Amino acid sequence: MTDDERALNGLSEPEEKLAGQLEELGPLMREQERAEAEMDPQFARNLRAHLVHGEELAPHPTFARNLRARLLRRRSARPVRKPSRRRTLAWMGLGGGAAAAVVAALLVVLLHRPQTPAPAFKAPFPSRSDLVFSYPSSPIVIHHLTPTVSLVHPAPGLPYAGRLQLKAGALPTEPTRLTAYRLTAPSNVVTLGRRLFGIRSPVRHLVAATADWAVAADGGIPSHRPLHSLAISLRTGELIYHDRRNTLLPHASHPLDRIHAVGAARNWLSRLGWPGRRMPVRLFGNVGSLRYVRSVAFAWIGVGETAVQSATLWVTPNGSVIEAWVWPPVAQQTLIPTRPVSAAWTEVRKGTLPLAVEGVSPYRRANGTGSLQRTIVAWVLSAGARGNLYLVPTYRFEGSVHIPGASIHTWYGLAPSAQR
Amino acid sequence: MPRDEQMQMRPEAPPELVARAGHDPAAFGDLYDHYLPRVYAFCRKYSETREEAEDLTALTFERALTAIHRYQERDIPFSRWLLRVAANALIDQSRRTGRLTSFGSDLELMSDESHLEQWEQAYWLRTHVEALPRDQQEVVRLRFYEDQRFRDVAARMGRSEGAVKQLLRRALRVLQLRIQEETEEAPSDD
Repeated sequence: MTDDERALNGLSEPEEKLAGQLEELGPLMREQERAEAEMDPQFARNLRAHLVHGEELAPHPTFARNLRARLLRRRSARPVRKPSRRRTLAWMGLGGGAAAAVVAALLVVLLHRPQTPAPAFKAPFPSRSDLVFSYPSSPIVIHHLTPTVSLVHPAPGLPYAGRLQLKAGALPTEPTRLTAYRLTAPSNVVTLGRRLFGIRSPVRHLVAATADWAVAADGGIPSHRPLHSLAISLRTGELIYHDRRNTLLPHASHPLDRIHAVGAARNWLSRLGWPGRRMPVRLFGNVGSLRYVRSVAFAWIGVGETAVQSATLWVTPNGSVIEAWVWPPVAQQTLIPTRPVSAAWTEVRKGTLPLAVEGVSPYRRANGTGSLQRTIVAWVLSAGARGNLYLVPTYRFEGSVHIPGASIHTWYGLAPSAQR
Repeated sequence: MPRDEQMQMRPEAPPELVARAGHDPAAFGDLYDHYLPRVYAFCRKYSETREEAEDLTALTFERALTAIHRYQERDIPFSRWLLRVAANALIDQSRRTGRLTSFGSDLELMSDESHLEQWEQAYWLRTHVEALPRDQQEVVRLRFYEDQRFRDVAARMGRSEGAVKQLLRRALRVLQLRIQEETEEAPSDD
């Protein structure tokens, strides 16, 4: 007999029986206790509101985090563009015969013409906040514009608080020019959308996050009816749609397949006047917190890597769109002269530009050492002085970093490509 | 025992609340508050992720909301009925998705009422353990929940083995007395 067994001596028969029960059920009791401790109080409140009042009063944090993760694009490896076709052709012209030079020169002239008939414009130089917009945000920060405009709005990203010492790496040859894009000016699409989606409340204007918004919203706090709203920023054209009337999908048995989900998202965009039929699909997947809902993200037509998706929509099994975050389409494009990649890299290494570290709290202050593994061109949103919104090119540097007390992570940093 | 403590320890909501919940949303809200932790913990046991457990919990309460009027005629505790709803939702979901990886043969186990009874029994015992003084709770947790040997429990609690054994005897005695009191107070079925 072991010490442990002897310890039960001296107990009455019912007490021994009870000890036996505890012995048997203890692991289950521990499991119950852990699960209850893990339960998200926000989830509990939302589900209660849904069951008792027929609505969700506030976005679920997981829902918010997932939305943000899906709205802000996941980067994929893409090498920096080789020296442009225009430059190649120009060099061919110099090295070849006279005829070839004439042909090449003509081609250079033709290719340098703006590809749209509209006149060129002056693209803004991206600000620090433009650069960090796509950086990781603290999971505890959810940026609410106002509940009427947006239940869940991605918080601006945060640069890593510690300092990273970055080793030199091979830099690609930079293109001499890159394209900048001006997006369509905001239109009062809310009036159209309100009619299309059957929102009964009139369009009203409100100021949130320093922008003027046109909003049509039925339900929401404090009406005890689920929110159904469409809002557009009259400054940037950013469009936000929520339909929380059936987010729990009690009767759904499976999600839509890719063809139908993408088709429903394209239709939705087209009805609002976006070129939904031609927008390339960039991401397709599930929404973690809503099992049968599909997430479809589109890129801008003709634009390369972007830090933010052009449009992200959530589609239910019956083809309804329940969430949408959409930026205006491209209206004009122009070529802008670029600065050397090496100059941008020097700024990054000096620590004068903000850097991000994935998977590590941005509030950590531990310093790390990293290396450069890849450089690509990525376009970021930037607002001009007159209120237009632009996509301007940046160099995106990325690599791995070692931070004491953490495993190896990916760091990245964006630096403007344009000459100042 | 103070009345408040007694109420807190009751694993079942009052029958009149259950009866009202069929037509009164506020009463259903109270029922939800009472049973949510148990239902969530049950769903979590058979879900791979928190999100899955949340979906399943939502589904369980939605089904319960539409079917609660049928419960009135049933002769089982409400908690058991609710867990049965959860178990059925889980079984349906697993069959539909064809995904049995996380629980496998547990599905068959879930069709067995004794499994739900065991879950309820564990929950009921927990409510009693949680009413014990803090040091007695700790010794019960370490010894039975975590299955630790007395010398390890003693090291964790910073006491001698003898003191820990004595503390556990006291905890068992108190628990037994409270369970006995509750059994005596419970209305007879006759």
